[in-house]
Parts: sequence; structure tokens; C-alpha cells
Amino acid sequence: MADEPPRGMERRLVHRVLHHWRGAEEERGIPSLKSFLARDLGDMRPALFVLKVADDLEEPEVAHIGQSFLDEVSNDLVGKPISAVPDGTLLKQALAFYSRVVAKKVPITLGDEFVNARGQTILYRSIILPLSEDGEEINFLLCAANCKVKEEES
Amino acid sequence: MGVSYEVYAYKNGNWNIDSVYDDRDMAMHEARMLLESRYVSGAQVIEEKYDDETGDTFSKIIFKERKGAEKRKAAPRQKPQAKVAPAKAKPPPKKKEEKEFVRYMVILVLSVGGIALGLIVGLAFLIESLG
Repeated sequence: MADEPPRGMERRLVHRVLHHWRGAEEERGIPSLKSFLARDLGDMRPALFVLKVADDLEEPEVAHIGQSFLDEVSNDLVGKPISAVPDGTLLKQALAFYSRVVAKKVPITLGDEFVNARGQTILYRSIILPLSEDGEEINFLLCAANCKVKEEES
Repeated sequence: MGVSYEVYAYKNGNWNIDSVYDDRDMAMHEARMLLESRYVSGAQVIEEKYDDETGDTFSKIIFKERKGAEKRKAAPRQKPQAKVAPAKAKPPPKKKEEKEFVRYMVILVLSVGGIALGLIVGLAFLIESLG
């Protein structure tokens, strides 16, 4: 058995998502959205959102938003370009580096902090993974993110 | 200066980029996890430092392991240590050998001398008895 995952709930989510992505990937290169969603994702589903990528789209479209993001944004964003996602939201922060994933065609994870609409400093970690129907061309981006309010330093 | 960690997997004779992290521990953990996959025969982590001011990028391998190969540690590379001259072989114990040699020679001389003396005495006795 390899080492335990790094501590912290935000890191565990990233590793779990990556583990499932690899599980769906192993037999055919980049996995498809269908093969990924067919896995037993358990309590990770609310922390997921999906972007649709296509040559005829100037920018990715929001294809799905998990329940945990709906405190900040509305489900009406589904079908709209990512530029419609409001600033100061976890969703907006979490998808900021999507273009690197499209270019490299590999999962990328980043953690950082931002100030939300309520003026709170939010620590977050997100991961974006490529998905493909044919194992090569990127059709969707699977994203997962979670966060916590940064505690004030006394 | 920005830092990222690229994890590479060795598959079918090639190193392919597998994933990218902004956190060293996560990258190292994933590299070790990759090694458990039957589709991967090696993993490595490359630390990429990007200087925003100059645009320069600095890369360094901080972990590399191949299945079946001698394991390498995750620690940063250390400077090669100065070569140390191999220790000279212990000189043979000359005195002891010399003593053995002298002892051997004394025994040899005494033996040959004794035999020669015996022969001379025997010969003298024979001449005396015949004469």
C-alpha cells in the first residue's frame, strides 16, 4: 500500500477524484464522462461540476453544477459559457486554469485563496481533469473543488 | 517565483506527463500511487520553477523510480562526495614469514648435515673394516 494521502479534506477530495479518473482511464487512455460517472462516486458528486469543450465553442460551457456550489450560483448557468459565472465564487476560482488542462490533456490541481462576495477569505483546492469520448480529443472537463473559510489570525 | 510539480509515468518505453500539482507532497504521493498501477513501470516528479521577472524556467527531478530497478530516494540530490582513495591492502606479516623461513632452513641444513655426516661415518667405518 502506498503512503497515506496528504492530510486535509481538500486534498483528500482531489486524490479521490483522481483515483476514480484513473480507474476509468486505465484501459483506454483519457476516460469518457460516461465511464467516470458510472463509478461509485459516493459523497463526491456534490463537489463536482462539468464543462463542455468543443471546437465550435469560443469558451467552455457549463454542463453540470454539483449541489455544493448552488449556494453561490444558480443552476441557470448550465448551458452558458464560463464567462457568465460570477466573480468571487468558488466555481469561478476552480475553473480558472481550465485552458492549461485542455492544452496539456492531463489533470491539474491548484489550491489558493480568494475573497468571496461576503468578504470572507476562502481557502480552496480544485482539480480539473480531461474527459474524452474517443480517448484523445477533449470533450468535457471534470472539475471538483472544496473550500473552507480561512480562520482569522489572532 | 511560481512552482509546479509535474508527475511523469513510464509506459511502453516512454516518459509521459501524467498530472500537474502546485503542492510537492501531493505530487510525491501521486507518483508513489502510480507505481502501484500495473500499467506503469516507473514514475518521476519534476519540480518546475518559473521566474516571473526573467521568464526563465528551472527544472529539477526530485523523485524518480523504476519498477525492478534499484530504488532511489526522494530527497534532493546531494553533491557527489569527494573521491576517497581505496584503502591499501594490509601489508603481509613479514616478520612471521621470515621466522618460518629461518626455521625451515635450519631444519633443512641440520637434516642434510646429519645425513651427510652419517654417510661419511658409514663410509669411514666401511673403509676401516675392509682395510
